[in-house]
Amino acid sequence: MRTAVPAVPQYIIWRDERKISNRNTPPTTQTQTQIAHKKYNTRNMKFITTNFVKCAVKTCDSSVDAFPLQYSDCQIVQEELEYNPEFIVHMLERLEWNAVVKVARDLGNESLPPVKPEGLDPIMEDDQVILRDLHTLLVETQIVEGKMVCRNCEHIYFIKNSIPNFLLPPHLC
Amino acid sequence: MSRPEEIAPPEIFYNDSESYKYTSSNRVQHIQAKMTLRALELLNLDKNEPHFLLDLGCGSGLSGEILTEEGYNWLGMDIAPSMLASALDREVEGDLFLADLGNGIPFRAGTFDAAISISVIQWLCNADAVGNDPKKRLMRFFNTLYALLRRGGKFVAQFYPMNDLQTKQIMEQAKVAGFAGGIIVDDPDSKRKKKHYLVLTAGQSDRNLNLAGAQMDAPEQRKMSAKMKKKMESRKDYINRKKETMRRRGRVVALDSKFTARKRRPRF
Repeated sequence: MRTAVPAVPQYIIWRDERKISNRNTPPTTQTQTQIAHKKYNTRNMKFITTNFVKCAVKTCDSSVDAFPLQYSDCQIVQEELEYNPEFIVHMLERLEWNAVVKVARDLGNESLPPVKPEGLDPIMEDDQVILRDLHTLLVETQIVEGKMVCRNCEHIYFIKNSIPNFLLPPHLC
Repeated sequence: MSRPEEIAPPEIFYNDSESYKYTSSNRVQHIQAKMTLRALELLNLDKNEPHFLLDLGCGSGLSGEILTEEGYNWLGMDIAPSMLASALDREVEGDLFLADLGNGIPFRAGTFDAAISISVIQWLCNADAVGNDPKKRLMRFFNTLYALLRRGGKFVAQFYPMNDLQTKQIMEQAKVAGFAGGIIVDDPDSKRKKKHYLVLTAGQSDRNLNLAGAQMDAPEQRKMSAKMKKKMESRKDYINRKKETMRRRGRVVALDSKFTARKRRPRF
């Protein structure tokens, strides 16, 4: 069971990529993901939230495409937050891993394992590496600015100053 | 007593100065904290497990701070940008969303363990813009809320109803969406301290709501003895009852009409 998940820190890609990208080429042009170097003090939209949020338009309720939203032009920061393995395990069961992979790809991380890591125990020593990586990905990786597009109705939601704006124009209410 | 709901829509009423006043007021902070704690008490969540909560109408995060202190992870939504800006300044822990609750809450089904809302949902009863139907907005709100809670999820909302009609309207829409529950009134005798809590559950939960000390308000139907019933009945009831008995026994009984058991006038 556990061998299916490589023990290498696979989830921390952004942090490493920044170092590489600074040395060599700019980040992939395809996604235009930027990594902020400035240390932000305020709280931003956590990566884990992208796995819950869907299009707010009523007609998209029944559509499969309304979730996950497509992320583009995102500015990402890494903020160190308190590590809480119980919370990660608690949330892991309700995460839709396909959406996690999809959104991570939108943001420029292609290396997530295709299968959700399961059977993790918050107390077990062996699982700590994976849990810490998940913590880095889900909680510490945050979006400051960016765009979210509904794949169904193509409405664009903007993330500005770390707050996503879900107010709808009157014709979509 | 003035109600902010009567002055302007929330996103306009809570401008920079008003949200500063609101957030910096010790009294408001104190009341908000008290109500948040009371709401958590009603939710009765298991302290030993982590929970993911939704704070509807989080404002400047006064209630969110309490949630963080109590060890919950949360996500807040509000319609007033100024309030959210002051929440950012105060560096609250949860994610913040700018959204109108009446247009639905944009989350996937089964995301949250519970939801709270402090002094918010009475705003939904207002028609602030052209084409805003409070009934529809409430319905959309409760429908999306029902969906995004896990089965057995709970929702506690403190609110200030303008009148009984509003309370009824809110309750009705919540029931239509599938919620079970009711309203708890704290300090019903004091006009100032009186607080309404809407307490709802989405499906059966293993842990019940904490309703300790609550008194049921529904009027009790006293069972009347057969003897009492007979004493209370009118002449007409008496005749109809006797006719029914006779019919059951197979006797030939005159058909019921509008003249049955009427009093005969003297001219007859």
